[in-house]
Amino acid sequence: MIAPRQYDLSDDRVVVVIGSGAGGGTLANELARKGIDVVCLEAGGRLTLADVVNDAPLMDERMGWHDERRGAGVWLCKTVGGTTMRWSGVCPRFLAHEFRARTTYGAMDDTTLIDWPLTLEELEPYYDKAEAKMGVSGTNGLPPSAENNNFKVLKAGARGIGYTDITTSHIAINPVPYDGRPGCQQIGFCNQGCAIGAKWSTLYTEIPKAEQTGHFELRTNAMAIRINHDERGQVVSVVYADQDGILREQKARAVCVACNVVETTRLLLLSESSLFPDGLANSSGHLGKNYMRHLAEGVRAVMPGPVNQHRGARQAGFIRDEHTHDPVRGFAGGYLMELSGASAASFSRYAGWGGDAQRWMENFSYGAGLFLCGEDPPQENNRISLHPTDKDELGLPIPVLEYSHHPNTKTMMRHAVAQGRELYSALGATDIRDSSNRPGGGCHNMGVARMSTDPSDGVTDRWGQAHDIPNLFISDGSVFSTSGAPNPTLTIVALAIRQADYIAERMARGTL
Amino acid sequence: MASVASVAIVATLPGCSPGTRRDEVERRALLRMARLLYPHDGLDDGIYRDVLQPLLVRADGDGALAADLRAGIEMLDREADGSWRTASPDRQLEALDNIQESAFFETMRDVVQQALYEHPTVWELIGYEGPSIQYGGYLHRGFDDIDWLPVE
Repeated sequence: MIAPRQYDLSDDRVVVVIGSGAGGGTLANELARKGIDVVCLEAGGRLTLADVVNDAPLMDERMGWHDERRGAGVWLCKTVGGTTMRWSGVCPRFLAHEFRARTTYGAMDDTTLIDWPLTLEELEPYYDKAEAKMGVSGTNGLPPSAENNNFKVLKAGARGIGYTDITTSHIAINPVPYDGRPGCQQIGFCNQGCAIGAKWSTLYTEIPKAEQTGHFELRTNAMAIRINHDERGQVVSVVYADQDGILREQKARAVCVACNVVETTRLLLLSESSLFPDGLANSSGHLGKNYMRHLAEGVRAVMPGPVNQHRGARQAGFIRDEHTHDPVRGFAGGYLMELSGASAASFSRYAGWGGDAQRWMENFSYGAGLFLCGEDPPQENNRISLHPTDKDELGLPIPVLEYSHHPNTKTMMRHAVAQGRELYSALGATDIRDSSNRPGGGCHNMGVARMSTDPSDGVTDRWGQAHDIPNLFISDGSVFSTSGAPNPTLTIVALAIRQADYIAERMARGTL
Repeated sequence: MASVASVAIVATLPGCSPGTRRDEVERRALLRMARLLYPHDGLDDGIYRDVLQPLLVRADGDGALAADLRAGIEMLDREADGSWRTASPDRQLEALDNIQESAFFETMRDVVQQALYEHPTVWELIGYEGPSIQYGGYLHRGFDDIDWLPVE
C-alpha cells in the first residue's frame, strides 16, 4: 500500500481537479495513473460503506447538497463520489444523431441548438473504456442485470404494445463480482448509496485507485470559491475554504472543474476579474446558459397482482424503441423508458390526498413504475446565475436556477406519458398516474459550459478545454453541447477518460 | 412556509410545552387534518401524532410558524362556517378541497406525507418491506418471484 501523497500549497506542478464525482473522480484517477500529480478538492466529506444505511432521510443528510439555492430544484450530492453515490447506474450510450442535433433536427424556434464538435465514432473507444471501468452489465463479458419483478412487468407491458428493444444490459451495477466489488444483492436502496459497493461510485473505485498511484491527494471538506489567473490569462491557483472555513490557495499547472453544473457555473462566475469581467472563460456570454435537465417524468400504476417493486435494483432495465428521431411523432429527438422502483415514500409522491391517497398507498405492493428520460433542447433563458443580493455563509452569492420546458419537450412528454400509460393498461392496470403535473428533473444537469466548434457558440472546445483559457478544463456534464436522451453519467465518464488522454498528451508535448 | 417541509425528517424532540386551551384545540384540528389528508383506517391517532410532533415542536419556538398554522385553521373554520374540527366529515373534506392551493395546505400535506410514509408501522400496513441490508438484500427474498404475468 502506497501512502497517499501530500502536496504543498505552493506546488505549481499539480493539476487541480475540483469535484470527485463521475467527471472529477474519473479524470483525477486517469491523470494520476499516467503519473501526473493531482490534487482533488471535494466540498464534502468522505463516507465509508459502513456509513451507508437503508434510511433515505438519514442518507440525504449524510451525502446530499443542502446549500441554499433559488429556483428550479436539483438533487445532488456533497460527498466524496459526488452524485455517483446517488445515481441509479443507468448507462445508455448516445446515438450518432444525438451528436448532430442541429443538423438532424434543423432549426428549432427558441433554441440555441448546435452540433457537438465530436462524433459518436470518436467517442466509441472511450465508451468502451468507461463501460469496462464501471462494470456495466451486458458489456465486457458481464451478463445482463437480473430481471426483477418491476422489470418483468415493464417488459410484458412493453411487448403488449409492440415494443421489442427491451434490455437489462447497460447498468453500472455489478451483475456478478467484478473489479474487486461484489455482485448486486438486490438491496433496493440504490439512491441512498450502495451499501456493498456493487453499484459503481468513484468513492470506492477511482478515488482509492488514484491514491494507490502515489500521484494523488484528495482534500475533503474543501470548497473551491475562486480560480485565480495571471496577467496573461492563464489560471494559476484555486482558492478554497477548508473544513474550518479557513481560505487556502493551491497553486496549479492546470485546473479542471467538475462540480456538477450548478457549482461549476457558480465557481467560474465567482472568478470574474478585470481581465474576465463576465466570469472566467465567458467571452462568449454562454456560461450558465443553455442549461438542460432532460424530459424527466414518471408513470406509476397499480397492477392486477403483487409486484413488490421495492425489491431489487431500482432502475435495472429500460426500453429503447422510442430512443430515435422520428418526426412523425410530432417532436424532435427521442426518449428512453426506464425502470423505476419505488419505496413507500417515493410511491406517495403520486398519491394525491384523501381517498385517492388511501387507495393508492394501500395498493403499494401492487405498484409498478417507470421513468421517462428524453432529449431537451438548449435554450438561452434556461440558465444558472448568481443571486444579486443573497449570500451563503462564506459571503458569496448563492446560485439561481431558471428553467422551463421547451414546447418540443412538452410535446415529447405528452407522447411519452401516453405510451407509459398504454404499457401498463395493456396488462390491466387499475390505476395509472403520472407526474406531469409537477415539474420533473433536477438529477440530470447539462450544458452550461458547452463544447462548440465556434468559440462564440460555447464555452469549451471539443476537449472540454476553455476557449478563452488553455489551461482551464471543464470535466462534468456542463460541456454537453446538447442533452441527447441518455442518462448523462456514462458520457461524462467517457469524456473524462478522453480528456485525461488529451491533457497528458499536451503535457508530454510541453504545451500545457 | 415551504421551508417547514423538511421539519418532519429531522429528529423528534422529547416533550412539548403544556400549552393553552386554544393550542390544544388547534392541535386536535391539525391531527384531524393529517388523518383526512392520508386516511388509513388501520392506523390509530398515535401515528398521526408522531408525524405532526416535529412540526408542533418547531411551532412552539417559531412564532411565525405558529401564526401560520393558526391562520390555516381559521381559514378552515371560515370554510366550514364554524368549527371545522367538529363539522361533518363531508363538510371537512369540502373545506380542505377549497383550500388545497394554499401554502398552509401544501405545508401540512408535505409534512404528513414525508413523515407518514417513512414510518415503519405504515410500511407494515401497506406492504413495504423497507431496509434489507441486514437480510442480504432481496436477492433470496423474492426480488423476481412475480407469478401472474402472461406466459411468454
